Amino acid sequence: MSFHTLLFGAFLAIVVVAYYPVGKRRLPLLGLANAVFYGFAGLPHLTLFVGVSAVTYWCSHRRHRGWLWLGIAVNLANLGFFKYAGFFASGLEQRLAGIALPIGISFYTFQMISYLVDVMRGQLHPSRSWLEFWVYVSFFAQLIAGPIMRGRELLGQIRRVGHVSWDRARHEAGLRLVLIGLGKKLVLADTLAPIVERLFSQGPALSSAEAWLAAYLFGFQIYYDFSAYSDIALGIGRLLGIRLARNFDTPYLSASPREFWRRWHITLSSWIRDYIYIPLGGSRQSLTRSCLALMAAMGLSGLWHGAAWTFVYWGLFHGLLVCLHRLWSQLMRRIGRDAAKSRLWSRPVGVALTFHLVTWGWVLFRAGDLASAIGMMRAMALWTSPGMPPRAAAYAAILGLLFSLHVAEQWALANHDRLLVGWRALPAPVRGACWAVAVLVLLAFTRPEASSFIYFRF
Amino acid sequence: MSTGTRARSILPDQAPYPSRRSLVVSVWPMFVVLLVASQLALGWHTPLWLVHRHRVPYEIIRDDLRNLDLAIGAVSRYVRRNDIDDYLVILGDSVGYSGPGGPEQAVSRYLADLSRPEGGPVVFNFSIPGAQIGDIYVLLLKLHEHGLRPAHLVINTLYSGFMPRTPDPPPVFWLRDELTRLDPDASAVTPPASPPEQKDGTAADRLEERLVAAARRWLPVLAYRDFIREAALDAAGIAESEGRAPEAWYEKPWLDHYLRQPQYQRVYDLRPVVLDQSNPNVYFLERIVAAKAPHTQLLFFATPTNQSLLADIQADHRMAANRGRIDGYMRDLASGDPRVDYVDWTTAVPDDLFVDHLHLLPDGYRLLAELIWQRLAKAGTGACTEVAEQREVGY
Repeated sequence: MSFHTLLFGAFLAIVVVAYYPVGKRRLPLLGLANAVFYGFAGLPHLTLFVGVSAVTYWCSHRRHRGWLWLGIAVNLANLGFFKYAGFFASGLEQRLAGIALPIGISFYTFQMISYLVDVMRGQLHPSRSWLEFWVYVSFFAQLIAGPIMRGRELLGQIRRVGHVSWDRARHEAGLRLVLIGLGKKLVLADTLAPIVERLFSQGPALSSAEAWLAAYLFGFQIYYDFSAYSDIALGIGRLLGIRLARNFDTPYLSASPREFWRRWHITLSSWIRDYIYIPLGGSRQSLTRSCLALMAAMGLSGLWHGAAWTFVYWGLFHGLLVCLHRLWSQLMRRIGRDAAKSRLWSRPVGVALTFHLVTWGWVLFRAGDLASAIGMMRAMALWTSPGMPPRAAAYAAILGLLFSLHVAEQWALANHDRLLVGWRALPAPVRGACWAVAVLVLLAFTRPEASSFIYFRF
Repeated sequence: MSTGTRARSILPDQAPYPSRRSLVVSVWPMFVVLLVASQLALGWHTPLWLVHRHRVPYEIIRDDLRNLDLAIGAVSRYVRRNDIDDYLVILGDSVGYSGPGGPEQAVSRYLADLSRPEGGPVVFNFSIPGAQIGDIYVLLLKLHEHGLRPAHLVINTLYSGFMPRTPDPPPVFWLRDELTRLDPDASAVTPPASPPEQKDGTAADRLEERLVAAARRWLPVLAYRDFIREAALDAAGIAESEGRAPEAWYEKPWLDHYLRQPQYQRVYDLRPVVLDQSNPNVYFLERIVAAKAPHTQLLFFATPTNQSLLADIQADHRMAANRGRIDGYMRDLASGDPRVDYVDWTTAVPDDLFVDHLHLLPDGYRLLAELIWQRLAKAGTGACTEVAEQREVGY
């Protein structure tokens, strides 16, 4: 059940309407809603999910650390079997071809592993009941594509759902986020999707300019698609009185690869940092060892996205960018260049450079195979195949608009409070008209049968 | 203190809300009124440009065949509302549709350009790329179902359409279900199409489909969403339906090899053509003639063919024999009704105006439009005749 379907709209309406009157019974209601939501993907997958979560919960209540390791192993085995068995054992590929990947498996696995590790580290008390734990790992707002929530962020809120009261401002904020997310998904990402598909299907046959166009458009498609999901998740959370973590912070305005990963898929980046990079030594070791740890963490991050070498190389590419940036920063410090003095020009140059490097890297993420990706990236980097795409002016204008929207989003986030005050000061009929236009535009652009969220496949 | 200063000084949750009463009186009524009014307007007064700009965008029909009914229905309402009697409908395949160019390069656009200044018929085009003769018959039935009985009907025929199907393409490619609904007898004797690909949807998918189908009935914005989206893309200059800049066939050296692929073999089929009721083309052509409205002037034309690209088979005596037999059959069919006309335009368009073996460059479609216009005038009906007499259109 995808967020941009009428079915989900009806499901959400029922849950929200039923949620507030039931008071203390909200936890069972959420548990049931989560099961129904996931059950639509198929009963076998729901059974598997319930089973793995029960084992995880049970392991978290054992005193011996061995049980906690067992819980982690069960989660990794579950993920490994469904997602990576074919990748690591080529003989199994054919046999596993008919087995569908349980949706959201990458997200719920990481969430349960972080829970077990936090319990093991003593940073988190085990969940008090399995129902509470089930609601934590299966909260339908963020189950399929994040944000990946830590136990210490979400479990406490779940315990208190019985005390959440109806708050008009919070609900309006929730609805706004849901509408913004739907707008990003339906109007922007889904409109870009067929164009991106058409361009990438031509792969290395594209001219250099066309390859750049394909990469730019995909960069915006994946951002608007994924951040749309996160916005809707946050909005649903608000509607139910649960605050979820932000996953995006206008990442294409980052001035360095390192900053990009602090603003793109924030909850995955911090998960990788806390549970892989830091245990591997983090930055408190020599630069060489630190960079090796970073490459390993980013490579795993790439592999998390999908069982294909293109994803691994994409992760390693970003690891390399972060390492190179670190080297550059160290070099600048050694020769005594103060970044603050050159801030006027260094920030725009950094943003432009980072944006284009990230865009170049998206080809690895999106191309059908490594050969196509390398062909396109080569054409983009060396300008080996001149020739402008058809309707170049229209596409240039669209890219300009997409980037402007990104900048506008940043401005809106920074000026959120003032915007809200201005909105509320508008005459009520104008606001009513705005709501109506927004709903009409969303209905006109809804095509759920033709698209899914990109991150659903991960 | 100015409003702006006050606004910046307060926190968002403390911002003044309208009272509950003003909210009920103002926000929701406006929301509901606009929503309902827009739906009524879209349902009753669908703008013609939204569904038909010289043709119905193929991508929209391909993605959802229900859109075809929406387009025909909107055209029907337009015709009724404007009390139009003299209108022309083109039913055909990708040649009638005028691929690969955009709507402004379509034969229907050029025909409208010829007709409009002279007060001739209004031109509509419901051609669908890939349509077979059975689809064209169903399209005619659908026009009638929506109350459209055009003064002029133009249909193109193909040599390959008369040749044996193996079994593809089926004689009804797009509209098989509609044939069963509108003419069960014809459906019963029509060879079945390959079974459609089964959708492997989840329970959620099936439920969603039913919800959307129900909502489409009440929310025209949902029903017309593909058209609205296409119009938005068109406004942005990136609509797929805009087609691509067509290249002449002689600029594509790979074309000859491409046409030798199995799916195009019927173009080269030289076996003796069988022209009895067992031939689906014969069967549906006769049903088209029988089903057309009595006042409709029907023009069949044999689709222009690139003689240079197909030189080797055009010179073959078996091809000449088959074409002669098809030509004779079509003339016989037309002779049975004074309001049915047939013309063989196989060689009527110069080869340098082709994109491939069948499809034309914009100038080719312009020439085809002028040929149609001239022929309709010669057939002696309505404004066409008067206009032709005044202008002496001709080749």
